[in-house]
Amino acid sequence: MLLDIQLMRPDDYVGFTFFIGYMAMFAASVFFFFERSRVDDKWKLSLLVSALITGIAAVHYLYMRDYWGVHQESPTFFRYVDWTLTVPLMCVEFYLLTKPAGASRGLMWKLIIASVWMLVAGYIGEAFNPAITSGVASDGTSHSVMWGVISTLGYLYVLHAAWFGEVAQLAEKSDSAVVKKGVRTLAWFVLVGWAIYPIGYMCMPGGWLSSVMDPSMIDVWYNLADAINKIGFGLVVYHIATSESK
Amino acid sequence: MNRFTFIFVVCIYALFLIYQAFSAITLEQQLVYASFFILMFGIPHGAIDHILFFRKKSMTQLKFYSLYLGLIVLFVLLWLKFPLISFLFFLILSAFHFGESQFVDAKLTLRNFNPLLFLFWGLALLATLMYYNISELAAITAYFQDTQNFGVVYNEDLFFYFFTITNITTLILLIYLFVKNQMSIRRLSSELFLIALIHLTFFLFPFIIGFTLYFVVLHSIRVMNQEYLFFKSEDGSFGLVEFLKLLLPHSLLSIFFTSVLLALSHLGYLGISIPFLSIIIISVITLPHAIVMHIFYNK
Repeated sequence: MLLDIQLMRPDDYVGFTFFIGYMAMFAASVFFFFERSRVDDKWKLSLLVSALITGIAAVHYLYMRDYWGVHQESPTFFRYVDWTLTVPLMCVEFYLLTKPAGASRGLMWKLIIASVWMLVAGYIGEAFNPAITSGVASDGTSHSVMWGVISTLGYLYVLHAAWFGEVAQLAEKSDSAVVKKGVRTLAWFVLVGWAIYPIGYMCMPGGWLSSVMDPSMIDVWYNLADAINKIGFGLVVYHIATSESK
Repeated sequence: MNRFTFIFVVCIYALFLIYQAFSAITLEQQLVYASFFILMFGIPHGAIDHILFFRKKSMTQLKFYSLYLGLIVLFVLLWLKFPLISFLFFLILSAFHFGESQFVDAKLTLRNFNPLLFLFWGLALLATLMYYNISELAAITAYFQDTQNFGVVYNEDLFFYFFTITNITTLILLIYLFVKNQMSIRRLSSELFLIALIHLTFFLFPFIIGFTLYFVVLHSIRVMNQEYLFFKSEDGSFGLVEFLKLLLPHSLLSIFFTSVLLALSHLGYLGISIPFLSIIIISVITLPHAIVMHIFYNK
């Protein structure tokens, strides 16, 4: 059994953060799931979604940790599968929080479509980059820019909705000061926390930011950002749910 | 984050992708694009100074225009006689003006304290812009004979202190305002985020692009919005078309005269290089504009 455990070097920061990320997501998932019983019924679904977000991420981090351990390369495939499932769920949280103020299912679907659009385009841009097969970084420039533009449009839609669009307006209409503040905090997550993903996209080998940020370290930033964004998102929802249930 | 910061963020992402596509933009291209945006947005934001002034103060047209144009002539003379002093004066004046337009909607009641915040916020902005791009600035300055005098300003150690002191002081002033209940936590976090964003922009992009991005989006468009809302508050039926009609005459006049002067410089009639002439034009326009806007914001 012990022979199956991958060797982890003390300076393998990527492997270290995959491990930390997995445990943190798993712990958060258990926490959100058990805390559901402490909140009012109307908040149970929000906490379940929070638990799902971190739970799905924990499973993927388990795979990614092993993938990294064996191959020592960025697990792009698993990462995007994880994001494609968890990011739309984060958008569902916006819908659930603003539902009492009148959020429609249409809003939820618009946010889901924008987030899936963002991630699928990002995946095509990153995973099917011609530079990977040719080994010449410049071969992938037009490909990564085109899919980068398409992906950014989806991100900007979600960002606008959270700060000025329907989500922000519904939050302002909400009777609860806690919900208002909570939605504003989640909007900060979208603005600051999610910014790591387009930055990471541009740190691909040959990317414009690859000279500013070491591409081999991007997984460390992704892992830290993922943990902060997903657990942080859940904690904000948890705070709203417990405050409103008192 | 307000709408201007959102536009700023969108522009940063757009520039990220432009740089991803082209990896570098030549200085000539930067100048062409920057000039276009500054002429389109920068000049119009000061094109209705006369209207704003007369809304706030009573004075004869002759006296106003004499003072306005007189200040411009005086500043031109100062530039020709003492270019370095004029340059430093321009930096301080711009810093105050940028800071004032940034916090005008913050409803700060510590009136004696406000000028300090405006000045340091603006100085931090300019110091950050220059500090991150000091080698590029020194190269541009050294390239033209009549701007070589400014080279003495670009001392890296000096700029490091200037950059550190102005940024730390600005942060302390913002936190002080928060502690004194002059600024909400929401506004404070927005301001801190904006400062971080400005640092990122000035660090990543070349001097001209970084400055143009700030000047157009966070200053000019923001000021035009303040002006528009002022007219709208006076007359509810006031619309965008009426506002553009107000901006147009003096904008076109300014763009025409600026183009003539730059053409004369290009053809060698003025004996002043285009960058030096551009600084003089921008600064002499800024002086009366900053004074009018100060009156506009405070009355």
